[in-house]
Amino acid sequence: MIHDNNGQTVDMMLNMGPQHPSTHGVFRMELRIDGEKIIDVTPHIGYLHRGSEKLSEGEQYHQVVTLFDRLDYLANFNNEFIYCRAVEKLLDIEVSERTEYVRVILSELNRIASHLLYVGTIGLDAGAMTPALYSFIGRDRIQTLFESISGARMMHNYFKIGGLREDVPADFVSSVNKIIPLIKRDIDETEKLLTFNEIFLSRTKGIGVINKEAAIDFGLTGPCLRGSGVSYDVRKTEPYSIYNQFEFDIPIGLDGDCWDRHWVRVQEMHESLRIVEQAINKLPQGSVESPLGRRLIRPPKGEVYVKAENPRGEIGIYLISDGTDKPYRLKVRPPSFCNLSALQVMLKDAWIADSVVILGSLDIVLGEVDR
Amino acid sequence: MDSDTPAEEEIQDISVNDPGLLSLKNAMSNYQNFDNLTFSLTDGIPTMLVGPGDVNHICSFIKNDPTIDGQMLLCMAGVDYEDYAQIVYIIYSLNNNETLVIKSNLNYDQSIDSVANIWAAANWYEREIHDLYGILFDGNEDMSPLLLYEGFEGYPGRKDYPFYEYDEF
Repeated sequence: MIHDNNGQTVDMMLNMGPQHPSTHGVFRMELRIDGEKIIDVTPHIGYLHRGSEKLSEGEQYHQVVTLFDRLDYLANFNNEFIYCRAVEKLLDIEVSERTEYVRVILSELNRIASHLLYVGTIGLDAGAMTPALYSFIGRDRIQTLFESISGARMMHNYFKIGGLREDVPADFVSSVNKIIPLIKRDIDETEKLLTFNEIFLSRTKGIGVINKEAAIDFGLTGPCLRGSGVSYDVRKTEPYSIYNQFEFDIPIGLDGDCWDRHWVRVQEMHESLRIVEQAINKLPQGSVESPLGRRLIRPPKGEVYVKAENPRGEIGIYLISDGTDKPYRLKVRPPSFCNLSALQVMLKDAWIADSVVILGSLDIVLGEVDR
Repeated sequence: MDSDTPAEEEIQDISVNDPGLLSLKNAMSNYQNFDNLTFSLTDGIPTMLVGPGDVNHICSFIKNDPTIDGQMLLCMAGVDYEDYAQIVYIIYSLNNNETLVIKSNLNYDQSIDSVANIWAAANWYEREIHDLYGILFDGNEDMSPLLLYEGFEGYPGRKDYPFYEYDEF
C-alpha cells in the first residue's frame, strides 16, 4: 500500500504480466489493488495474435487444417473436426460411417486429455504440485495412442475434408480397449487428490461466482456455463455427426463457483469415456478415403455456420466461400474469448491469490483467444 | 455454376416457406420499422438485413421479445466486401433452441450502433472488429486495441491490406 501525507491509502497498479507462470499463456492482467484486494482488472490480450483468420484467406482449403490445429492447441482433433464439418457442409458431401466413428472417438479422447491437463494445472494454481504429475500419466497414454495413429502427439493434421488422411492402424480397437480402464484409473487417481480435499475446497468454494443471467449475457459456454446451472451442450441440443447415437449425460453445477466448474469437468471426463466405450465396440468396417480424392476443391458460393462442443465451450465457424479455391472469410468463434471477457465480473472484490484460481478455473487457451 | 438466375429464384422460393423464417416475420411484425427489414436465409438460419442505425433498436427488441427471446450473442463477425463492410450478428435463444442472424451493411466512413449495452459479450467483439477492420461503434466507450498493439497502422482484416509483404517492427 502507498500512503500519502494524511495516512489515506492509494490504489496500486500491479501488472500480472505476460510472462507469469500462472496466467496460462501470454496474458496480461492489469490489476488495481488496495492491499491484497482487487478493485479492478483490465485484461490485455493479443500477445499470441498470429492472424489465423487472415492467413486462412491465402491458403487453400486443405491447407487451413494445420492452422486450425494450432488454434486451441490442447484440443487439436476437436478443431480439425469442426473445420472439416464446415467445409463438408459447404460442399454438401457425406463422409463414411467409419470416418464418423473414428472422428468421434479421437475427439472424445482429446477432450479427456485436455481436461486432464486442466486438473493438473488447477492443482498447481491452488498450490498442489502432485496432481500435475499424475494427470500427465493419463495424458501421456492418450498422446502415445495418437502418435500411433497420426504420427504426432499434438498438431496431428489427420482429419481431411471428406475423410481421414489414412486409416487407423490394425490394432486400433484393441489399443483403445486396453487403455480405457487405465485412463479411468488415472482420472480417479488424479482427481481424488483434489476434488474433495479440504484445502482445495476452501480455495475454490464460493470463489469466482457468476450467476446464470450474467453467464448467458457474457456468452459463456461449456463447463463455465454448465457450472452456473444452465444445461446447454451442443452435442445434446443440436447433435452433429453421430452423437445422437450415444448415451451420455450432461453434468451441471449449482452455484457457479470455481469448484462447480471443476466438478463439471471431472464428470465430463467420465462421460467422454462412456462415449468412447460405446463407440469403439460399434466401429464399422469401411473406407476412410475422402470422396474428393486429391483434387483441388472449389466449393460453391455460399455461407455456413457450424457449431461444436469443444472442451472449452462452444466453438463456431462462419465460413464464406466465393467460389475460388481459398476461403473468402473464415471467422472462428472461440469459446475462451468469451469466457475470458467475463473475468472482470468474476474478479470483483477478490484477493490476488484468488485471481489465479479463478483464471485457472476458466480454463482458457491463449492460442484460441488471440487466434 | 452455370446459370445463377434460376437457382436464385429457387432459393427465394424455399426461403419464403421456411417455418423458422415465417415465425420470425410474425414475431417481428410488432416492430415499428418492419418495412425496413429484409428477410432471407443464411445456411438455413433466419436472417434479417438491417440498416446500421437500427441495429441497437432491433437487438433490444429481440432480446426483450418473449417469442424470439434472443438471450445470447454467440458471435459477431466483420466481413470486408471491398466496397462496403458487413457486420454479422449471430444470436441464440437457449429456451427455444433457435439461432438468428442479423446482418448490417455499411460503408467504411459510416459508424454503426454498438450493442454492448444489450449483451456484455459484444464489448470485446466490437473492439476486435474495430482493430481489424477500422469500423467505429457508437456507444462503446472503450475502443482501445484488443488484438493488435497500440500504434499499429492499417487494418489487417481488409482485403486491401498487403498480404505477402511484411513490415519492420
